[in-house]
Amino acid sequence: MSSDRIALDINVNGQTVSGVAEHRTLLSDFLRHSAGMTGVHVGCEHGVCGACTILLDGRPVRSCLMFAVQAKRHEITTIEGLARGNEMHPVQAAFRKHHGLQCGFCTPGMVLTAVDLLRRNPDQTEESVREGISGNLCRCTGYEGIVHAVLDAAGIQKKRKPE
Amino acid sequence: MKPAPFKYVEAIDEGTLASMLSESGSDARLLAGGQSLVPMMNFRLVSPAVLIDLNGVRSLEFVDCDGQTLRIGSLTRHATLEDSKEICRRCPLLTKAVQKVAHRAVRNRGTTGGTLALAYPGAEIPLALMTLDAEVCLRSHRGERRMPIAGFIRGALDTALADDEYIGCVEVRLPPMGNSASFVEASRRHGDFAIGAAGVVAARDHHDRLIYLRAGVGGGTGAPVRLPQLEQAVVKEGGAEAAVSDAVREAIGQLEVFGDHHYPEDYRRHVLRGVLQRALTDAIGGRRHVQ
Repeated sequence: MSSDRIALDINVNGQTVSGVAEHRTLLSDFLRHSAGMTGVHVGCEHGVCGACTILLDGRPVRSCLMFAVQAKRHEITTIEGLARGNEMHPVQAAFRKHHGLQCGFCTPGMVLTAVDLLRRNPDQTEESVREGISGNLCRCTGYEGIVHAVLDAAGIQKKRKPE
Repeated sequence: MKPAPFKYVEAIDEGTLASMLSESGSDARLLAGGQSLVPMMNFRLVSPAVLIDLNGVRSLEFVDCDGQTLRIGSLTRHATLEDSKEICRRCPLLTKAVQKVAHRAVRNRGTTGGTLALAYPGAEIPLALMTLDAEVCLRSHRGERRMPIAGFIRGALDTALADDEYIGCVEVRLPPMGNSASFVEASRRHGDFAIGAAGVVAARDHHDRLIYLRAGVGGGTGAPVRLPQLEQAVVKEGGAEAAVSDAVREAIGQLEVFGDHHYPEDYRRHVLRGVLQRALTDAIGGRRHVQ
């Protein structure tokens, strides 16, 4: 049984992060503790809640279901890598505008999921957005603000229907 | 919620993979997508001494779609199947089934070989492949063997994979061009495993006669099940509605269905009848099922 520590160099948000980890160290924990990317949130640790979602070579994955050692030769993007300097990514700006977060725990994973969703298909409807974010659980907002934010970011104005 | 310590080794090609497996046998687990294995390890439901990472074995990642046959390498990610225009055109059942697998982030890592090797009873891709009568190619240092998927998946979480074997690829004889498919699933939430699911492929000839039908169900059935008697009965009656309903009642009535404390047996049967009926109606009618 090995708890040998190994040296790892991982590309995170365009920079090389050097750290030491066990074979069993989860990527989520490595990113939080060795790379200092505390925007990677740990919720369920079994791939269901989506809080730990990061981009691996531009594609969303559950960082709690990968081992740090697997991340060599890949490029990792966390929420910290989304903005350009002081300029928020359009999805981030839309979340702010439409009150797409309250406690913020689900938000990094939710935003990165939305970024990928819109990149693959900017032509979204409310239904397709709800389906697209269904792998990211939010306990605060009831999803309304999140859906508005994603649709706005997609360039679609949601028309309010009179109740 | 952290896994127990293990030794991590990486296979760089099939030769290394085969010899690593023959050396470590049952002490080792294969790490492909990890979307089922790592949750189990995080819960400490399994604690392998050795983890063999096969994500570097690129030769196992491919989709080959020629005139008659679809071959899918075991390391192929679900997202690749989902995005494949060729599969959508020639084998839409697979496209519809894979769209129901968990969520996109899981599909970016999960693999065909992984879901087959696990054979989780509510899993969508094994059901689709069973409906399509796929062949599974198994490899080890001893060589290669092929078997029909019905022989490979023996029951829930039970396959014929030997300790020193890995899945190389699956092969599907493509349904006729222009076939219509439906995959209907009942689950508690989007992305969950199925309580009950049905996959159907139908094709008509130039005279609009129903000439090809494949139907399968999964979820509560142990291994997913193809329904050849139902297929024959329905084709014989040209896909007539009454024949379909009768055949569904008969098929599900005769099926071995397993209940548990979540979903009792009669509830599962009820769900299976419903999803199978809808999938048959949609595929035979050539309509998209609206959920």
